[in-house]
Amino acid sequence: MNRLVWSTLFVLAACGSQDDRPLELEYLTQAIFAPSCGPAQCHSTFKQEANNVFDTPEGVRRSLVENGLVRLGSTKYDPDDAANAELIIWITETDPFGLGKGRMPNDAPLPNQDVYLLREWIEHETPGAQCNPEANDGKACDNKVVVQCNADWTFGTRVMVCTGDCEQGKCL
Amino acid sequence: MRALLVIAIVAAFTGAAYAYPQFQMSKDQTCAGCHIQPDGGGILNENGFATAEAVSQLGMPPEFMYGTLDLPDWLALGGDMRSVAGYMQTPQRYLAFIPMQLEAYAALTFGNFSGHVTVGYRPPEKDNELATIIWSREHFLQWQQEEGSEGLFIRAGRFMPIFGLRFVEHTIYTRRYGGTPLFSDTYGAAVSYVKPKYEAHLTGFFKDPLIDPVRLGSGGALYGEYRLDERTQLGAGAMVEISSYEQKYRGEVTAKYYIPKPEILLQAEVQLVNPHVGGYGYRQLVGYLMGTYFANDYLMIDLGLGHYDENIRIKNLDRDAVDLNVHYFVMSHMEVMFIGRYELMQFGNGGPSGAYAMLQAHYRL
Repeated sequence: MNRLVWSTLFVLAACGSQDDRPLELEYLTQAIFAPSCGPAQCHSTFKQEANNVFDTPEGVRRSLVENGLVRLGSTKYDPDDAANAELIIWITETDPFGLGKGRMPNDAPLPNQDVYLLREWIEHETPGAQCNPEANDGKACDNKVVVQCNADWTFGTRVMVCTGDCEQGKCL
Repeated sequence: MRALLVIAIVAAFTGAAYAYPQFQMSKDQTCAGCHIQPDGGGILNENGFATAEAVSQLGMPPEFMYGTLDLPDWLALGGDMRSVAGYMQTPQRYLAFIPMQLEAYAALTFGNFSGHVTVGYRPPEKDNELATIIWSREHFLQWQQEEGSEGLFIRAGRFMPIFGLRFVEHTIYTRRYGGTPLFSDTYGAAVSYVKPKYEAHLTGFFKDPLIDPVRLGSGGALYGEYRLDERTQLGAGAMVEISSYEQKYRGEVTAKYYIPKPEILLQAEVQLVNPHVGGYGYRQLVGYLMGTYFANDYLMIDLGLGHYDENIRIKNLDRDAVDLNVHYFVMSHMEVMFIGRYELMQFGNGGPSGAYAMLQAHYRL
């Protein structure tokens, strides 16, 4: 039994452990967004290419929410279909949206494991980058529910449940 | 079948001139042996001019503007222009033209004191283009103990924290992921002590409060090199950087070994990085090994191997690159360079591969 335990531990150590990286905006910014998307000449605080900033948590949340790279309203609720979130399309498809800008990052590829982690983060409703408290009177849509947006860009208390769709903090 | 998209992109890679660490140990013992800054880069000194002339095919007077301007002794001027064009695959395939660098330098020396400034093009900030297309990447005051390239140097102003081997190519992993990425020059103060046998550099730096900067943290860097003999050098360093949301601790070792025949320089840099964010700490590994073959007086060939592991505990996050650079020093002011890279994620099992093959032109004023 001991031999089995030790050999299992050895194999795990040799191969690297399971992906238990935190699904937190700060970690994703430091480990993935900043080095891959936020170099100086791209989506950095310094350059702000296409009005996206990916080298700070503040920049990432603002870019994702305000530029619609991840959508959490009910007309396009990305957690149910994370592979088709704009953010994921930009980093996985050739010629995203036919804009001729190319797949991102356009200076070096992104490991699949990072793409999977971002997809998982979207499936968990992008904690840390859910809504802008300064927009739409501080209200936002969590699928078909209007919620108050917290100061840290997370969903807060429920305001109302929409009978139809919900977008930009309002029932349609 | 994946479509081939061929487009021109501008400013995906931009650049700035630092020194050629390939010349340390092969041409001179220290960077300061050829540059007026203790960590290399920027304007050349007399020995640097002589080296520039000696390593070029056509020679030509190596001084600023070919020595046609009679500059006073207290004034040194310089400049660099670079652009690159070629093929990129990330994995999408591009044809790219990239204006990299257009910078002028000045250094004014009065006794032991000198003032240094660079002015040039930078990639402009979105929606603030007019105000940000020109900048001064470096400007600092320097005091040096002795005339020449040895002794104590103290600097204050804006410059790159001194850390590691300081390769020119910012795409090299130990620069991109290793604490000195492109345009991460910032304000601070540095104390350097340089001797042929050894050198040490201590830099304290802080986030630039005047612009939207690349380096978003403040901290310090310590780097030292010891030359065991005329062929062998060992180095070590540490860097701490703290920003509003993260802390990064780096430790590194470097080494150089020069083989006079057949004129090969081997150099390596390995960093262990310990980033912390929120309550989570982890480790990264960044390494680069370069072998440089000086084929003749004007041809320098680099073969490099890079490794970067974004999070050592997690599998399938390794990134490896093979680089081939061929430098042809046409004349003392001009270099044409082929740069090539093939890059794999987890040896091809962790994602798409990347590559580029480009020609770079570099003109030094």
